[in-house]
Amino acid sequence: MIDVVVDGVLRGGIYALAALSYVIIYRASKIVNLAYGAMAMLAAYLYWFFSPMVGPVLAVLISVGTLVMVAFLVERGVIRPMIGEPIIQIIMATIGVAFLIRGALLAFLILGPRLPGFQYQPFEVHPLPTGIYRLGDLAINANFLWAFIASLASFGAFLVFYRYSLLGIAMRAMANDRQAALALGVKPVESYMFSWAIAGALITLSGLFYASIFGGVAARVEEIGIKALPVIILGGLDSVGGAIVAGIIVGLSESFGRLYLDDVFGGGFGDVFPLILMVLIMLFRPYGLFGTERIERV
Amino acid sequence: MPAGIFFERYRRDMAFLKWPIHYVGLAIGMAALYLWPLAAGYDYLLRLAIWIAAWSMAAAGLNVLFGLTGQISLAQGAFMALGAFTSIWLATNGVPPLLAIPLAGLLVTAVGLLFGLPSLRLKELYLLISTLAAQFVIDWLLRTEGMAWFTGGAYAKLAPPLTIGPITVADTYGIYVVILTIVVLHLAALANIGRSYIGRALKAVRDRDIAAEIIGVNVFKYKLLAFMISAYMAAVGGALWAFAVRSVTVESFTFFTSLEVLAAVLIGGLGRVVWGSMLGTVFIIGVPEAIKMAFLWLGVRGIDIALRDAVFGALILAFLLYEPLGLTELLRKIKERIRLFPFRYY
Amino acid sequence: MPILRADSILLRFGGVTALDNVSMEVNKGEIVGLVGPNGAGKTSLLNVFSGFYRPERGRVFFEGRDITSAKPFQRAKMGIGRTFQKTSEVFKHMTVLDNVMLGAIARIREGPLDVIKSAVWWGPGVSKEEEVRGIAEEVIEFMELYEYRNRLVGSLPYGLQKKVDIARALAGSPKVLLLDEPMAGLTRDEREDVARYIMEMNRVLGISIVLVEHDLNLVMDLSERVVVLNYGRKIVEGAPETVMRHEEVVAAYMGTALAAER
Repeated sequence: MIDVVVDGVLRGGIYALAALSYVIIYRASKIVNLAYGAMAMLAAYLYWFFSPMVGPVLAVLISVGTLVMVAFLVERGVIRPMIGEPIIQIIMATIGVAFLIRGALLAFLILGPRLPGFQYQPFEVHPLPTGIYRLGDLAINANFLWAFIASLASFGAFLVFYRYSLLGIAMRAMANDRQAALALGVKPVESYMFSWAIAGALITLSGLFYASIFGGVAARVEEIGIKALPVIILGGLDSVGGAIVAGIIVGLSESFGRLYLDDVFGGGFGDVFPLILMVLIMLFRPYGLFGTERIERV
Repeated sequence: MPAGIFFERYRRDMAFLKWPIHYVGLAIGMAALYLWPLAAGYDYLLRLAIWIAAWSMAAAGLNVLFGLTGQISLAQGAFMALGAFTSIWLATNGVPPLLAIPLAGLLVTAVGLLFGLPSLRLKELYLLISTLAAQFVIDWLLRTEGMAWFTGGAYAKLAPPLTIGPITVADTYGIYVVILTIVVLHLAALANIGRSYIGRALKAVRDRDIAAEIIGVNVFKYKLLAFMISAYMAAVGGALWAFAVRSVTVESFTFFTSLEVLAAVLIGGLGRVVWGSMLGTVFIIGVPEAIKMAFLWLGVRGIDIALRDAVFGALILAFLLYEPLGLTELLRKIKERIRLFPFRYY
Repeated sequence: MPILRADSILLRFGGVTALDNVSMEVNKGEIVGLVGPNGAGKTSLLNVFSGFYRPERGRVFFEGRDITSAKPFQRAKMGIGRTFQKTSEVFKHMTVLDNVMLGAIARIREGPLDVIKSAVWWGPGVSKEEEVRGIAEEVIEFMELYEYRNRLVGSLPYGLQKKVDIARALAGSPKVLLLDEPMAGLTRDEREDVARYIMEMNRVLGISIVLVEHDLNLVMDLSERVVVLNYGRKIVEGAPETVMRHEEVVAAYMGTALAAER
């Protein structure tokens, strides 16, 4: 029982980090970035490819750097020209980006390390400590624990940046009221670009941590993009604080779903349980548990 | 400007086929569609055409939902899978295939109704996410051991041969003719719905749903109707594919299928239910296939799937960025340019 | 006997009271002006009439029937027409003709099998459609919109969009028409045009009209009775001349200092 709780909470930390990246992009561009999964997978494969050559720290830096570049390019080349178009169109564009990234990554994997496809490849150098910590009866997977701690640390670092730095304040102002922020002299381009760059870095981290759960990289890493969706819905799309609470709720519902409901409904129910929960919650509270409701007028 | 008396009754002005040239065009078009395989005769092209026909059903359904009604769905792949398995199940239990196909569509429509319910309260992004969830939940459901009787589990589910009364249609051309006929009938029906008051009500929901409700459109009913039509069309498309290839697995229709269908609608032209969906499907199936063939011909192997994905992504982006109204709009512009030929403007 | 009646309506959003115990009635065949400063609750009251807002307390009656729990589209079908304040509420991606034909949905009897019927009908035009087209053309004639019949509404200038909105409402053959600032932002000529249409709809077609408008002179000229709202409460109701002289109305419009001077 306590195992399950610990497992759920630790997972939840990773999901919260993943959701944070969604929230940052939503606050900047008012869209959901459906290229998330592809970007996370790209990051994990890059780490896997470079870590045996240059060591884990440099490899993380390389993948963070690449993903920040990718995020820059997406923002500059796709999202910004489409400002003012219907939201749904822009979200469709991120699906196009996802295909582009997948194709480029696959070409790289075939031509570079000569893999036949998105195959499971164990990490040779793990980004986080592995093994099991024992605390009395309780066995905690070290990988999970460190992923959780690292996620929380990244979350905290972001919050400090967002709250106290000038750029963070500018980003918040833009998210709250674009017109007013522009009138007060916030540079829109700067705040968009940094939002996407930070989101890119966070995507890398969450992709790496999620991959480290499996001990290596595989096409499954792409799932993190889907797993974080219930989190942002529960937490509210624009709520940074909501992401962490919702992340843990989703982590818990997944591990409890796996324990109690897999036998009832068949294997893998734990994975879709948060999605079902999400749809039910959306039916009764369309704007999430912490989101703000709109009043419609004519 | 053309001048003179055109019509004296609204009835004539509202018809699809107004002038003799329309009848001629229709006749030539249909003849070309039915008879080209006899001239070309490649089995490979014919299979590609069947593929396009089946997928264009799902695309047309999504176009009614997204293009006309403005409600987004990323679950077309799941509905295609449901339609395929349901029709096989019906056919193996003694229902004649030609009846099993629309019947499967109707059964799946009930599921579509269920997933349309959130649209009462959810809009845009939230609706997109909830349909994404629907896709994954249905996909999971079909993969569970409990549903193995329905989906064949890890093995392929085999469809009985396509029969019309006592005749068994076995050759590819015969299958093509049957499927083409079903698709043409369905697309014509959609076009007909689109020009009736129902079509206008759907468009009103798309443009401004609150105002639509106040001026007398039962918004919830029309949203549900659009979801039902899109589920029905996807299911029939899936069923057609099942009878064409005669073997279906849970891997035949995935989240990727949903994205493909969506891309077809976007590239073809939102709101152009017939032409947009058809052109879009030809494009999203034809172009990657052409790329694959070109690379095979060049002797480059292995990298074709990667390039297919990349080109696919690039195409979606190119259309969204430069021609958001899709191929139909592009063709219209070209037509206009030709009509005005030596000059660029009036 | 009043054709449309609101009985002590209470409407609140969170802490804001939009309508506080407001009653109002519209008699058959009359034009009622509904005026008040910005934020007085005029549009909210129209929204209560057309069913978009559900009041916390109070009832709405139409032709003597209690319609408080009827949905907006049901009320439209009963004969409560409505135009909108902002032109963002017209259907911009549809042509003028389509907009007007859409408006006729308020008078169509929708059958459950209509989808299938229209799906399998392959002839030139469905019989119901022909009738709708006839109605729409009549309305277009009445509103003098024939030149723009096949133009997308989004491509028309503001004044014409407002006119299309009225035409659309008219195509639903309403018994009561709720006009929400039909002249806001129009030029003088266009205003007079719209005023003429309002008179004609009232006199020729016999439609009862509720007119929300800021141009007080126009409202006073057009309407037989005027209701004045301020801060969600009804200040006064009566013939235009008496209303104009009422202390609180003057205060609401010109400020208390000026009112005291008079």
